[in-house]
Amino acid sequence: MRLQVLSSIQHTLTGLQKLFRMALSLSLFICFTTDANDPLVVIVHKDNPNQQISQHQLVDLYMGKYTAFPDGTLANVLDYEQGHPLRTIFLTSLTGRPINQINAYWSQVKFSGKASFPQAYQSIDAILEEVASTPDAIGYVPATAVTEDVKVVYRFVQ
Amino acid sequence: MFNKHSLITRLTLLLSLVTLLFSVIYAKLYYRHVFDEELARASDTVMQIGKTVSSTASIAAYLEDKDLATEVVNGLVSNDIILSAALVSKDTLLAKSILHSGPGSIQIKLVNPFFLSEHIGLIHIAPNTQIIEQNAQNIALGGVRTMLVVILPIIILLTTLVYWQVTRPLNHLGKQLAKILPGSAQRLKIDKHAHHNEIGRIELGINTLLDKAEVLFEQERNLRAEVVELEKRFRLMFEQSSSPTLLVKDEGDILLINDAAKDLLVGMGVDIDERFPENLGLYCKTPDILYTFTENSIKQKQVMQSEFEFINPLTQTTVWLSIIVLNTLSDGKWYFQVFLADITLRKTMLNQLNKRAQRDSLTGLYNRYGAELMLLDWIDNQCTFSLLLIDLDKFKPINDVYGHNAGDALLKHVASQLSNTMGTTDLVCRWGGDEFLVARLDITQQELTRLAQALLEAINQPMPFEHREGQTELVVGASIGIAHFPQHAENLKGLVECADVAMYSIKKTSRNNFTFYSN
Repeated sequence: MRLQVLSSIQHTLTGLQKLFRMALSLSLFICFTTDANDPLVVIVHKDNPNQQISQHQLVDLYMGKYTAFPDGTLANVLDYEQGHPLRTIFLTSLTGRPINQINAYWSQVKFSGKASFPQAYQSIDAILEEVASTPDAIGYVPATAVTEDVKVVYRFVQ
Repeated sequence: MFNKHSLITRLTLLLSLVTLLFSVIYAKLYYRHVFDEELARASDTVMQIGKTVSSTASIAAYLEDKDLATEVVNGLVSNDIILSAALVSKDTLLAKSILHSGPGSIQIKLVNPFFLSEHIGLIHIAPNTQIIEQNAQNIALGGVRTMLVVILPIIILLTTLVYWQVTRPLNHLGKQLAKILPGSAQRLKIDKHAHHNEIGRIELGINTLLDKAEVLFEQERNLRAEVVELEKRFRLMFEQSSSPTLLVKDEGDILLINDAAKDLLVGMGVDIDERFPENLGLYCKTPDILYTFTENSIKQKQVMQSEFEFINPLTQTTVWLSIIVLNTLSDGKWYFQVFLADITLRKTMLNQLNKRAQRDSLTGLYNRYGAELMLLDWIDNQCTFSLLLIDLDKFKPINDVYGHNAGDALLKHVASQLSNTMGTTDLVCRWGGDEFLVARLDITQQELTRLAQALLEAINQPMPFEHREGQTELVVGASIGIAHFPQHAENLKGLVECADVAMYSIKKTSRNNFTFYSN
């Protein structure tokens, strides 16, 4: 029974996600045409001792499995709000899964409450500001937006 | 009504037994099949369920989220066909149901939801074999039940049909058959409808058989009557035959004996229960010859006839039997028929006739024929003897003067005188007219001379004779010629001639004297 409920919820969510994606891709075309082609980079506070973070470690961080950097210090994971085009691009290119699957993942995880969502931000600037000011923060921005206050630890290969 | 040996009972029992056996085998096979199928199906279902929950399970394993894992496991065991389940991440058991034990479960691999090549855990699912088995059993039993529901009415129907179509007509046939007497005119009544079926054909066959039996019985009866008639005639012929007949087996047992034979043998004092020929041998004068005779008959398988003399132990009289033995082969066994005939009377008559032919009717002495037979016998046996030919002197005048009666009386007188002088083994004969002849075996010359003198004296004895003129004495003399065998002649005729010659020489010279023949 419970499984059936789960799967039906999942199903409904998948349907909703489809609608969302259609709407989002439409808005992307209008607002972030230039950004869309920019490669994304993962940034941390410039004093953060971690120089490189692997794709696997990034996935574990963003999917709520771990909340610590490879060196063991706690990480404050930052993300865009749900529906933000960068989030979609980042997550899909990071995990190689479509966004709806990732959303479904989160919706299931939400029930048990073991994993915690990354903190959600509305804009690139807000992310940049938070990363620059918080030593254990980690976020991602388009490569063109990187400032001196942050350190790039991961780059998507074009 | 109920008979455990009857066909219908056996058929029903057999059918029921076979059905039972068939049902058991069918249930076993079907159960096995259904069980395997159910197990496979359950296994498939379990796999499908496993697949369904695998994404959630993967997440639980990925995050090592025990709550989520427990939820997955609970979800799994809420299924009837799943007995127990467990969710294991790479190193740790995240959740398990109460009954989970480990072995015998299906394992589904869980991969990292984001790195599909990374194996992060397992779901263990144990199917509920008890329920699967129960299901299979129910299905198999249902199949058997359905089968029985179909088969039982068929058996009942079949039994009923077989009873009406086969058993009942067969019983009817059996009852009819029991009442029928072979050889009589009784026949089976054949049902019109049964004419063309198997039982009808059997009935027709039986009727044909009865027809044949009747004909054969009739023939047999006629033949038997004929045989009885023939036997009666033969028996009559045998039993009423005046010819005494016996049927004797090879070993001497008397099988049949007719009344004539019984009368004859009983009359002779012979025990008819004794074996043949020993019974007759007891009273036979020549038993050895009798035994040889029957033995030869058996050996030579020939018809043999002979005559035997018996002494009747009751009357001490002589009985003559003619015995004919005839050998017969019947059914590979030898029998002999014995025909007896009492020929005593004939034998006596023959003896009397013989006697009459050989004796002189006046004197009772041997006549010439009788003497010749005896002398020829002596000659044949090469006996030595002497012959005396006697001719009376002066007999003719007595005959002429005193008549024939006186002559005859004188001849009788002489005959008696001669007989008295001679021995019992000697021959005394009236040779003819007033001629007599005597002969004695193995006699010397001196004895012969004495005998001749004694004979002359005896003849010279006067005979008193009465006649009309008164009593007188008649006296005759005799001339005697003597010849010896074999010195004087080798045959009888020659010998008698020699004696005659000697006798005539006396008659011419001295008379009432004797002389020996000399050449």
